[in-house]
Amino acid sequence: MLPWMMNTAAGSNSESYMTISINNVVCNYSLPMHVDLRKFALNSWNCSYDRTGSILTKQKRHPGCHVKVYNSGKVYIVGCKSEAASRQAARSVGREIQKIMGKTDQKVCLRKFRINNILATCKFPFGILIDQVNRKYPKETYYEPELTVGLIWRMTEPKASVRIHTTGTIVVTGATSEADVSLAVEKIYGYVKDFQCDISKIHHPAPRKRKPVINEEFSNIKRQRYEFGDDDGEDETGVDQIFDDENEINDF
Amino acid sequence: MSTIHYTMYRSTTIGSTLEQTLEDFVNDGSITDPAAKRVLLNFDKAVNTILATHIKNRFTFKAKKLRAYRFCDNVWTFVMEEAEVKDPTKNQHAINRMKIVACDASRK
Repeated sequence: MLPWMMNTAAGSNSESYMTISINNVVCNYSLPMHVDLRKFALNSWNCSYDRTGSILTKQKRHPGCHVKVYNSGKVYIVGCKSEAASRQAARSVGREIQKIMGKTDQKVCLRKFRINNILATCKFPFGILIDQVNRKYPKETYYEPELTVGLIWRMTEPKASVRIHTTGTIVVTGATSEADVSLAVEKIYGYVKDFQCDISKIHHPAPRKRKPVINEEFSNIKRQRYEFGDDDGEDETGVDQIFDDENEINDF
Repeated sequence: MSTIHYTMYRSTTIGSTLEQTLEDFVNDGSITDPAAKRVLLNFDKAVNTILATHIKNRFTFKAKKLRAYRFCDNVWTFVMEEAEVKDPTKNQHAINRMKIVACDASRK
């Protein structure tokens, strides 16, 4: 979490903190050795190795994440809450593999460790008029209200994709480092602060209630049919009226 | 004996007594060794099919925490803590640590 100090839009002197919370860090690396997945599965806990698959999946408690290990030595780690935790998880999995494969005497390094994706969210203390943003920056943004609720801003540097919502929530995906995430949020703040508005004043169209289409005439006819019944109250279902032998018209 | 069944039921009380009896017979000389092996294979088949189809009694359990799990070679291993086991006579047993090794039941 990177705390920020920002002046609120209304120009008041109070300063509000906006915290960027990093929800997910995806990374991968490669180990310079062939991993015997079955041996690894038998000697470690919290893992799952299908006979059919070539992947061993593992779950770690500290830091909490999912790990996928391949035969070739490639390892993917998903679910850490920070870059440092991701690195720590990577090293601990690497160490475990080294121990189980019996290569504790050799030096085993994590090759090509790289963070693929960081997902972070942030909430601006004001609402945003995203259709106006879309109108002003048509090249960088994509806003299709029928498809997604938020506006998508594709940034080239830092390389990230930002979803902006009318409530002021910002979701950054595709960033490759925490520094990139904070840069992206800063930039977006710069663009978007001209379009802020009071959250309570955002007009949300009433949710469309979908009513089934009823053919009015037809429904009336249906209702009439059920007003059967003799005056005596004997035949309530109207069966005798349908099967009326006396007045039957045989038109076959 | 075209199908192979799990041989893990040979370590149960009934399985181990059968094995001991067969061993005594073979040592006496009343039964040949391959015949004893054939009996054990029959036992495997019988136990597996009856357990899958005829047995209705169940033990249920609920544990506070799943400490560890493993799935390898179609065998699940669970280690749980603070389990409460209910047997078919509705008695409850509290177990501190429980390890479950489970084979796939659908395999013939």
